[in-house]
Amino acid sequence: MIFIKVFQKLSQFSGKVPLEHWVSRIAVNTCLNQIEAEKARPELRYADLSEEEQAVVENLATSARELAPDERLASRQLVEHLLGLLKPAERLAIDLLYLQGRSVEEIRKITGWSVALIKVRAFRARQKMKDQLAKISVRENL
Amino acid sequence: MTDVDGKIDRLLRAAALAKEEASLDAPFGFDTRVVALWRAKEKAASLGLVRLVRGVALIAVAVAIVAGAGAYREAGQSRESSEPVANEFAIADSAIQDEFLR
Repeated sequence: MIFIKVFQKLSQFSGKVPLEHWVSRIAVNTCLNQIEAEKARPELRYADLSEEEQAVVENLATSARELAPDERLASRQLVEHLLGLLKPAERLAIDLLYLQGRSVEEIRKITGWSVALIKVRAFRARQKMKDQLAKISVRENL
Repeated sequence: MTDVDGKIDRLLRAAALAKEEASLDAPFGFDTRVVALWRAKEKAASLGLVRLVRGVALIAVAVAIVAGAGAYREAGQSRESSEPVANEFAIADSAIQDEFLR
């Protein structure tokens, strides 16, 4: 999204500031706009999901086995949707702990949070994701 | 562990594996296109400046040639005008020497 905006607005680049600064400004503004957009719509609906993501939700509901390799990308997209409903700090906790697979000690060094705070944030974030996933599944009777 | 816990664990595990596979590059060569467009724009913007610098350089060369020619001419004229004086000095010098020899 940032690259597309840079491409679209390149004619507005005056050359008075370094390109890197200009691009980083666009990146920051795009992220802020995205956060505002997420605040405006804090709920995920089954219809918002792609077919592949819907298939992952169905698979999770009907089977206890690990998801297949070809379902990983859709899983990732579904997780991104769920993360979008969380607060930035909670999102970071989930990303570092579960997606990047870092230890609590590593996260403590990266974020400066206490161990207890990391665990609380990760727990709350996980709880919210679980609730949201359950809501989606219940609505579709899965 | 409840059923939902198991679901979220499986989902996060699969997502973590997908993240490793995902490419960090921008799609459709966007980075290359952006840089190419920026360079083209920069070239167009600097074209006017290049023309101006070239014009200034040509004028400077012309001025230097004219000034050099003028200086050469001036030097020639002063040489011509100083030659009679030099002759006068030579005559006076030889007259003094003659006077001493006598």
